[in-house]
Amino acid sequence: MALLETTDLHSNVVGYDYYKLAPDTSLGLDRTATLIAQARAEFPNNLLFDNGDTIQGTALADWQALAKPVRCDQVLGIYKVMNQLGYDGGGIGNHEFNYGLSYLGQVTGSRFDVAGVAKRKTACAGPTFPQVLANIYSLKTSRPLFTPYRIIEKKITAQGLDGKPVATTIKVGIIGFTPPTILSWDKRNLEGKVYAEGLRETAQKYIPEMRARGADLIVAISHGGLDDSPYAPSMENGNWYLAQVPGIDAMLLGHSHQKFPDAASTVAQFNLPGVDKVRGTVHGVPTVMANLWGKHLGVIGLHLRRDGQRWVVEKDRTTVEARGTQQADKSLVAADPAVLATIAQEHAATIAYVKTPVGTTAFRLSSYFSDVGDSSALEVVNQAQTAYAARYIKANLPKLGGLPLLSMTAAFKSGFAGPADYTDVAPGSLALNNAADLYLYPNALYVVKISGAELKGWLETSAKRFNTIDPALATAQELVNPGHPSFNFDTVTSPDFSYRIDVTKPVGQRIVAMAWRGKPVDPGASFLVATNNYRASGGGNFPGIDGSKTVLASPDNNRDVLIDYVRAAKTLTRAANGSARSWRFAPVKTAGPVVFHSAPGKLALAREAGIDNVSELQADDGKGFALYAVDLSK
Amino acid sequence: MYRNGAGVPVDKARAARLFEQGALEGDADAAFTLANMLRDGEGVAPDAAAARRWLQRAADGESPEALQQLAMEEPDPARAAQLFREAAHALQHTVR
Repeated sequence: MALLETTDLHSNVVGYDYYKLAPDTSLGLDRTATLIAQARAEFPNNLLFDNGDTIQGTALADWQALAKPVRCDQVLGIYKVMNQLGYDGGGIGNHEFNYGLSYLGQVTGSRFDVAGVAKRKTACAGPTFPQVLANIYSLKTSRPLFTPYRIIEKKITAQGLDGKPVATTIKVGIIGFTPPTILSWDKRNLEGKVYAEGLRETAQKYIPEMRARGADLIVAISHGGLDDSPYAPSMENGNWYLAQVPGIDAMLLGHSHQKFPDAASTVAQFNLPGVDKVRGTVHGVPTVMANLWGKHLGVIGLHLRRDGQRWVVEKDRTTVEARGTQQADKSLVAADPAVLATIAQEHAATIAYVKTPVGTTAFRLSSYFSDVGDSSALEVVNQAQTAYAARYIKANLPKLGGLPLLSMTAAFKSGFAGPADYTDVAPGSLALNNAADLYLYPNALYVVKISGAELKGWLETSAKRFNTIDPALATAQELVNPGHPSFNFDTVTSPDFSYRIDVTKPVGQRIVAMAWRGKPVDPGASFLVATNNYRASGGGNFPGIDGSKTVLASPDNNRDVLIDYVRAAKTLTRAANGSARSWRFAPVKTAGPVVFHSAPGKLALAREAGIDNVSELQADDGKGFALYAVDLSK
Repeated sequence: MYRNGAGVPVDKARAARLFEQGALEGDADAAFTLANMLRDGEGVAPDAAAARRWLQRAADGESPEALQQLAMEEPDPARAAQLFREAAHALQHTVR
């Protein structure tokens, strides 16, 4: 009999990238479905389980949860497909809580009795398979939020002593666990409503009860990985301990986005004592983790023997595999067309949702000339970050309210991958997928509190983007230092703040005339700077900015903050959103040209943006870029 | 504290040792910081290979910033896209 596992599907029902609006064949339950069919053909006795982190993670999920919330009588898209695939049971991951308890209760067909959630008279449409979760409890009732375990009576065909097939029933007990850490990760949805208990205590409580109620086999569906640090009920990945609770016959894991077993794995959690990464056991318990996004299917093949009264697992004959949709020859198994057919309407609606305008722009937002001061694609990002941070600080951190607030951002696309690799959003309507062009990286908005000296250090590090220019040199000099990527060239674009970059000076001495509202910046003064988690947490190794200065680690993505800003602004204009320049080069007359490379034929865009000291020297530098010159004396 | 001189004299070498200790104990944020210090030779001799190893360790420990760093440096666009999605996902269960 096989236990089949999917995990961390994250709403990847069909393999599709909703921001690129293109198929993504590397993932999706539509391909896993083919692996499921193959495994079922091989093991006619089988049970199919999902480990959780199922209902969140793509634009499809957001569309169904937020944009056009699924109705009570409708089954959520991914559950519809899972019902069709005949799942036997499922667990609950941490991300199931992301849209709140009311939504989770609705889509899982539950009737939660928790504070702050109206108890439903009747359950809404949901999965037709049982969902189990044993370690999360309602604070109001002290009872488990979901059914903690379920004993599934599965009809199987066994081989009789006479060698002939015998139809019989096996009772498979499933028990679910999720990381207790959801209480901090989803604090705003869960605080005062539910509490968590540790995996070990929970298992010790329920497993004897499951055995007493006749379970022949016990399968733990635990959303988490392995960790051998000293046991704590609050630990995120408690399954190294869970495996040691007597009575568990198999573990289906998830959450870590890894595959197990994997003989080649260098991942720390699969190289712990008691973990056999080749055979797929943890303290002797057969264990599988099926990677993420439907890329793999976990397959535990159990050989069972009837020993008088009960079923016994013949451990030596157990096999454990994580089977990939990508096969040995690198080709992919075919997608099961029935999956797309089942959610065709939701899929099409999500594509329409991603293309829905959130606002319009009257000017072209591009990054071709960001290195020479064009803020076309940057100012709106800084404005959105500043507006969000100001609002948040006023409401939640009033003590910091009096400090000057700046925002930094960088051009994320600046020709690194070729002349087409620039931000370039045409005038007209802006949709969700354009917001991904304007803010490429998956970042969260963070705010740091730093001194004037640290602010200068930040800008000095950004200014490593430039080579040191010798004004006396008559030959051409390259302006840009390719060793310092554009994403580490942070700039301010605010009328309140100004500075000059003197590229004739060595690194660390280039920022001059730094002023806040016209007054020189005092090195000892305090500033708040809105940025992203990458920078605030030490990305790019900017001096002093290493996580220790963070005063706000917001749960909101910079991209979503930008979308909200555009939605409120309705129309972006050059004057209001694309012309503020905080920095200019310190003027210097150079004997020879100072040159840089950008996409060809874009000079008119520089002019539109008010950059009047740039000229095109060559239409093709031999690599598909044009060679431009910047006159630093202007 | 020792890295930035917060209330104590700056001692980069000591800071690097403390970050290494944290990283060895499995702290992904410490591993990310240590990777940065090794790359730039801050408090330690520059060691690009060791920096890369710690960056990978930080990414394995679900540091969103380490995953993003790997993504930004990844030449294969499909692999980079996967790392960015991993970074986005890791960010959702970062507690700071």
